[in-house]
Amino acid sequence: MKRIVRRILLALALTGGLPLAAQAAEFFKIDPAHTYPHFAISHLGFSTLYGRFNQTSGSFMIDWERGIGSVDVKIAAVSIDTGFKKRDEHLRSPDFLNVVEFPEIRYRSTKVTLKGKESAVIEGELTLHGVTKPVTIHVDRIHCGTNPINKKYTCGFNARTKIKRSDFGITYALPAIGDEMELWFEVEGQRE
Amino acid sequence: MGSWMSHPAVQAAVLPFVVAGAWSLASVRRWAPWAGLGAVLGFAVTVWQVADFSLTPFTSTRKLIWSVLAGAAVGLACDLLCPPRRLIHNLWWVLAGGAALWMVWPVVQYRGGWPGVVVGGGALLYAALQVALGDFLRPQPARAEAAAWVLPLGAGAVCLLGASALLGQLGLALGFAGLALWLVGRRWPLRAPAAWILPGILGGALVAYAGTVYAQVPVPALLLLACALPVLWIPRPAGWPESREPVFRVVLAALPVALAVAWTALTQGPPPL
Repeated sequence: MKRIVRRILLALALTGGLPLAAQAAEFFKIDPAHTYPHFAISHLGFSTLYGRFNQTSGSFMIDWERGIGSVDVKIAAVSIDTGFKKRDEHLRSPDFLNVVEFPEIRYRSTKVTLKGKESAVIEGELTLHGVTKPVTIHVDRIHCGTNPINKKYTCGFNARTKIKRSDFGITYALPAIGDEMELWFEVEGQRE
Repeated sequence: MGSWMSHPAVQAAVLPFVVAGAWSLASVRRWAPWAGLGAVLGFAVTVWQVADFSLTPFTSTRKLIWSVLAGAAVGLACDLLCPPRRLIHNLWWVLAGGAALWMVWPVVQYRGGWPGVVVGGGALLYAALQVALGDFLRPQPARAEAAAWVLPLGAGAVCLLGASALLGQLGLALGFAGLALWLVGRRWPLRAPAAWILPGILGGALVAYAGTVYAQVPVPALLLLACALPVLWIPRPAGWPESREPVFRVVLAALPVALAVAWTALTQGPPPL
């Protein structure tokens, strides 16, 4: 009898511990209406061209207890938007993104290190124009809480990095159109 | 000098024209088929300026470039080895159809089903038909030579208007290089060497089809470009001097090409440059 009770208590302790361990890692689905990747690139040395991608999806995970996380973001290359239709068509063409052949831009983390409650460093791989390269992204301004509009638990952050488009095989009009691109992201996700 | 070389018009027109013209002038009196290589040499100079010869990532544009280069090699082999006409004909349209399908294969895979079949089947038929017609024209050099530069020139122009400057420059380069050969041929007959005709027509067909699939070239423009070779079967008017035959053939081929360019300009607007 004592052995049975001991086994029941042990089982309760193990199963009772699971929800606590699961709560340490929080999973978020990216909110496409409030997540935008932006880029900036030199245009012929005269000015900086800014643009963004309008369609983003994916997910991220934050484990505050262990100070780790993960990110998996997909961007529809065709959603590029620089505010000028003819230029957007040019950017979608084989000269640059070649969106028909490479419709998706993807970033998947390999390691996320949280630095306190408000910043992080994400190491991962960016797949752009059919080429995958390691890219490190710096995250700041992490903020989590209950969204007062939809009452859902939401986390958001800003992130930035720099890449060279030539590393990804996008070499048309170099060096007239800049090689180095600044990327930054405003991301929001709702807990699943 | 550097800024002059980076001008798009120099890269796509002046450089290939000068290189092709110089090569063909230097080689035509030794052996005409060698002069035919001038077209692909002019094309290669433009590739060196606006793209590259690397293989990774092996994009559709790089497949197009290597298909044109391979076409020149196959054409030169046909000129050197003189295989039977039937063998040449079958080899050309199989290679052309295969190259076109290879170029659009990622889209065929991505779209799948009937949309993929339409894209892939269309590419295969379009390129194979153009090249087969070009081979039929070769026994009449004036017709084949007109096709070999007017078609890629028109394909380049519609691609430029259809929002791909890169495809546009590749097509224009083949066209202007071919124009240089055509002009040389007025003084020293080239007799439509395969080293020029095959890559010229294949390149024109691939550039046009790529422009429709990957850029904004409208389908009617693609179909109008396809008419550039069939119209060359129209007989010369009675009383028209034979010495004017080459010009007559160029004007004939240019008519549907001009319509294709006009259609694209009306529907797509100015080029993105």
